[in-house]
Amino acid sequence: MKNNCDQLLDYFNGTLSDEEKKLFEAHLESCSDCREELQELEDLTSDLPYLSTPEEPPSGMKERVLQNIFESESEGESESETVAHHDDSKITEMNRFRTKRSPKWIAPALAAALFLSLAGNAYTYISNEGATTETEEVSSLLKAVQLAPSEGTTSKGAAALVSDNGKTNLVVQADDLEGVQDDQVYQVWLLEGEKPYRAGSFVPGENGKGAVSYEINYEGDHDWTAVAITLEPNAESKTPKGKVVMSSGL
Amino acid sequence: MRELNDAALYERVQAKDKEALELLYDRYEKLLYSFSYRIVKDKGLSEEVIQEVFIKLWKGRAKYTEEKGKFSSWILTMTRHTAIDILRKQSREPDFELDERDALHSDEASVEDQVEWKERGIVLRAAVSKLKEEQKRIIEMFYFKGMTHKKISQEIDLPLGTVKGRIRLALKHLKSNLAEKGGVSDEK
Repeated sequence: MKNNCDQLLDYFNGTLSDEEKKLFEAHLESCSDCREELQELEDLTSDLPYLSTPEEPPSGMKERVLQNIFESESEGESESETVAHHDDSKITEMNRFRTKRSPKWIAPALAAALFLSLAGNAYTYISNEGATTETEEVSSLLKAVQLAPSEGTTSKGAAALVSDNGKTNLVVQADDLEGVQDDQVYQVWLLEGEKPYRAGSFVPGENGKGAVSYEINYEGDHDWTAVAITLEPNAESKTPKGKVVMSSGL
Repeated sequence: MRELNDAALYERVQAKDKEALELLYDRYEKLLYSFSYRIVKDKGLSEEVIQEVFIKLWKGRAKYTEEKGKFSSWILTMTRHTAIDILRKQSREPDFELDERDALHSDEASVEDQVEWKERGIVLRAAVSKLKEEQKRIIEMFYFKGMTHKKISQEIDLPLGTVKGRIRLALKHLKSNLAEKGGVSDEK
């Protein structure tokens, strides 16, 4: 087995696995050399953060961060409770999705490219008139999110993962979309980590509204981390080519 | 006094006091954001770091106790770990060296705490500038990029067993350079 003392640097940097970390902490109890060295490293590096040049945080960051935290909180502690509320299955207002959103908010691990094009905008709230009726027969809502528009766009939308007879559908609805040209379509993507999966496409009507319900049928277990909509040159894109119009962590 | 306040605010946050969280947020936003940015080199990712740090605080996933030392040191460490983690997930290597570029930006600090930060920064950068290139590099790789022991040994082509000693030496040089400046250090 690897000599524990050799893991000090990685422990200090927080790069050990949870298990290794536990083992190392047990080792620390009995190894005074490591304890001293760790203390020394902490002392020697305590000033280094102040080497950072002051940077201006992006505008609206505080509101976004706090809103995400408090939102996740108010939606209940128990995850299982938010799934399959049969009483609430008749959801006709997209607004109500907000209150049913999964409490397990995690900072979205969007693909770097997608992330970069994300807006520094606050969440938008969709109006009632934007509601669809497609969800009326939904038997259980797994998760629903507002889609935040990217910078420079005013589009807004909402997405919901719904389960029906063992099938999972992604329902997306959006408003104020710019019209498309030629073969362009709005393509919906589900992201698992950095990997995008196609999840339906649509073309908005003249009123700038569009919606799609997509049956997720990818083999194996997936832990979707984000949903994004891009504007693609046609409905054939296997990976996102166009810019992100709106997105949200899941 | 200030640290006492931080610890008291932290206690209130554990009791789900939103106002306390906001106060802590305001107090640390700029420092933690700048520190995150120094590590991940990307605005969006830095925001993600801040989001994670404050979620951990709010949800009590990261526990602070006074035995862990100053609250500010603790939250800086948590921020660094979170940033390193996000950096690894992105597997993007920020191309950056520990050097005078740090000093090129104008300092827009406005809050009084940031005056102290600014002064500390000036002293620190002066101390860093006296290090050998290799020592700057090793501090950068270890502290700001959070590279693993193994990776550092490969990067600088030194046996695993030698890496720790080199890091300590570089950090000690930095600390003694600081002491000469009559700055932050308590070491001779």
